[in-house]
Amino acid sequence: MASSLPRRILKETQRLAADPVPGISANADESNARYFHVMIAGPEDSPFAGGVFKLELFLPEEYPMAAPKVRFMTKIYHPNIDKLGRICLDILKDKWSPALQIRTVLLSIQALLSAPNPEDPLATDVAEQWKANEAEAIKTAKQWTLAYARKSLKKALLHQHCLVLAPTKIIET
Amino acid sequence: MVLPTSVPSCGHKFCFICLKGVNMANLGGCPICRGPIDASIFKKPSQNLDLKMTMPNSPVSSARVVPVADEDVEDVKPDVSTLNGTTSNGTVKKNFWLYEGRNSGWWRFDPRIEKDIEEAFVNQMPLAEVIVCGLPYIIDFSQMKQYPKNDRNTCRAIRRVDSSEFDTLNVKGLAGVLAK
Repeated sequence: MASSLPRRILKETQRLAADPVPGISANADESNARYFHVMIAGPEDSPFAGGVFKLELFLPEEYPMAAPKVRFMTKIYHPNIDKLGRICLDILKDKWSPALQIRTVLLSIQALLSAPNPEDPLATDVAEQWKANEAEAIKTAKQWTLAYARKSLKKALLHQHCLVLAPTKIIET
Repeated sequence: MVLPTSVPSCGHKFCFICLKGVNMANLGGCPICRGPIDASIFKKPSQNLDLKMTMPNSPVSSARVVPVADEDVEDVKPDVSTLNGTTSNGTVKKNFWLYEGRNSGWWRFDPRIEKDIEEAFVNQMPLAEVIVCGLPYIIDFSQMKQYPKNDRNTCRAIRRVDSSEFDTLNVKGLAGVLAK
């Protein structure tokens, strides 16, 4: 069966490598060009700063007529991301448009880390905590970042993943 | 863009089969602004078009493009243009791929899909899988038929023809768009 990769996916993959988004790396799996290993550095202005979060991204057969499927692999304390790593983000659901790309999806997820939205929760317990005591919630999010997301950073550095971190503040390990 | 088609209400322009695919997938309107798409533009569409048009140039991208990483196994792909045969005066002889019309005549495939089909064909693949309007289709070279991947029963005949044979056939248009 000749199931060639659509030109669009090929182009997106090439551009992600040639012109990466700062703080984000996305590499296609060696055996499956529709499966991407993604790393997102926690934004500096967020409780996730200093952490690197591992995600998986899969392009279904219908892509780009259907949204990519994205999931956090690294544990994260965030009102819009649940225990299984599922992400509550409109563009991944009913607001998907084929004019969006892998790149723009990952940028949106990075932005979601900077701006948690407890009014539209996926992890209801986290959202409630976020609304009831934001300072405490942010503290927990920082602790989780330290506990779970630093490991992936070490691993990423170890494997020399081509992760482009924000120019300032390379995290001290 | 192949067969540029505007969304009537907002004017944003897309390839005909891309826009048709968006409409079929019910993606909530124009991909750029989410404005409504008047579905009547997909009924008996017609355009002034060159039935033998070549591949359009890709949209210009500002990004640098690096070649994909070397693969372990050398991927030997014959050069399609040479396999297509070269005429005595050095011009490349082009082949066209057509699919049967529902009632009569033939349609030419979108040139980009045609290129994928031709590549699979000259590589002697038994089948090719292509995406038309966002849906996967199987091109079966042994039977010279195409059918939607999930519906083998609605198959249509396909043909590979050169330019002179092309002229003898009733080719109505391109990718479902009638030539005016």
